[in-house]
Amino acid sequence: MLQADFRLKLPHFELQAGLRVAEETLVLVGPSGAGKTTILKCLAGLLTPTEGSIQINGRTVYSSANKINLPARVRRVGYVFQEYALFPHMTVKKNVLYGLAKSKKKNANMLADKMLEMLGILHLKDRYPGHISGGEKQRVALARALMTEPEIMLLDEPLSALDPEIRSELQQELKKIQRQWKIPVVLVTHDLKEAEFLGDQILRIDRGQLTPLKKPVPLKKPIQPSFA
Amino acid sequence: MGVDFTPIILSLKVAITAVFFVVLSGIPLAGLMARRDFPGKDVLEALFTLPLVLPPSVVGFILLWLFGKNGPLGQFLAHTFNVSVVFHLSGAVIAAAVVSFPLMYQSVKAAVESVDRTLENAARTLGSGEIRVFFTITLPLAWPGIVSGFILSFARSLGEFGATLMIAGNIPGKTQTMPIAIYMASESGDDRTAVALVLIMTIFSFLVVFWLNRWSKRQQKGMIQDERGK
Repeated sequence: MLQADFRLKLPHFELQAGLRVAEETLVLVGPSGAGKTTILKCLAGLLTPTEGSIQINGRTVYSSANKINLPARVRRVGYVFQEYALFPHMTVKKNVLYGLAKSKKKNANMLADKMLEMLGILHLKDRYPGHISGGEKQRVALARALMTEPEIMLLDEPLSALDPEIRSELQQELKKIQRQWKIPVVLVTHDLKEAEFLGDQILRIDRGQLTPLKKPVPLKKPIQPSFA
Repeated sequence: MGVDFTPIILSLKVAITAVFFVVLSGIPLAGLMARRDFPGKDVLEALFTLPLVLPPSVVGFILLWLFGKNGPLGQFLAHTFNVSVVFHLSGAVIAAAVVSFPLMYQSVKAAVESVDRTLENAARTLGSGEIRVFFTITLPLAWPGIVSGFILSFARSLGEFGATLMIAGNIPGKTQTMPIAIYMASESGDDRTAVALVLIMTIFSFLVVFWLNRWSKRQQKGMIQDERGK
């Protein structure tokens, strides 16, 4: 369970966030510059809000009242960045193993192979990120984040840079992973259709203000216009 | 009369020791200055770059004042360790380190600034503390800048003349480094020695720069090379 209530003063507006996410996917949808990524950064501990509180599974990771502000490295937040942020000087396998807990280093090879296999990228393990496709990079970024066994997952526009075909394939995959992992997922997108497909909850954000969007009924076959 | 090669050995000793200290101080300071903001940063920044623009004689004069018998650092060294760096090879090392520090500092700082901060943030969310982030992400990605800083500061150390002459003097076999030996040989009309040392210095410098450049290129290629070893 992720609970967050905070506000952050930005140069042009004030960001106000109130989120409750159980083991489900919350989608933040809105135009660029609305504060979507900023919210994720605050949750991950890469930015400090002006005031408020953030709790992950009952653990307070940020509280302005109690002067708690845990650094990103101990928050146990899996973060998939917009441009994937894979380490260019490490192979896929080294990328995936980067965040593995020390206690698990003994089984590192086996764990990495298992994770890569699950995401269908085992054959890429000795490649460098500069030499794989966008969809493959996305899978590597996911694998790397999941490897740390995060308590929540944050996905920043995970699919926006991909071709439509790979996009829908990965949408399915994300849904599968969320069900399998059973952790709160916060996903940011500017694509409303994607939000509808992936979100159990959808919040619209504009100039730092959140408004809930009811989950729309899934789209049926579009009605063909008749030109008769 | 054969050519005396002691200045070469002395110059190498001075340059290697100076660069060792420059690497040790320059990399962390450049990393810090590239990534942190604090009051007085601009003053420090200017101070770190100053030896690059000051004439070597000014640097030599300041060092002589600092490390001289009555200078603050000179007195400290004399009282605590009973040593003096004036007219001593360690003085030459200090002079070389001071003038070559800005080259290392500038080039590492520019390289660190060019590293994508998102990568560092990614490492943080993956459980890395600041030191591990620096050594596993920032430093490897700033590698070309570090190598070029290394080449430049080594070359500058090897060639240091003015400040060295002022603080370490010209004691053959003790503090007479190559540039000073060349100057002295040329002044006294010993062209044979001058030409020999000039040739050695030029060839050696060329080889160092050539080799390090190639090596850094290979490192960069390795970074993006597909399926290493195949």
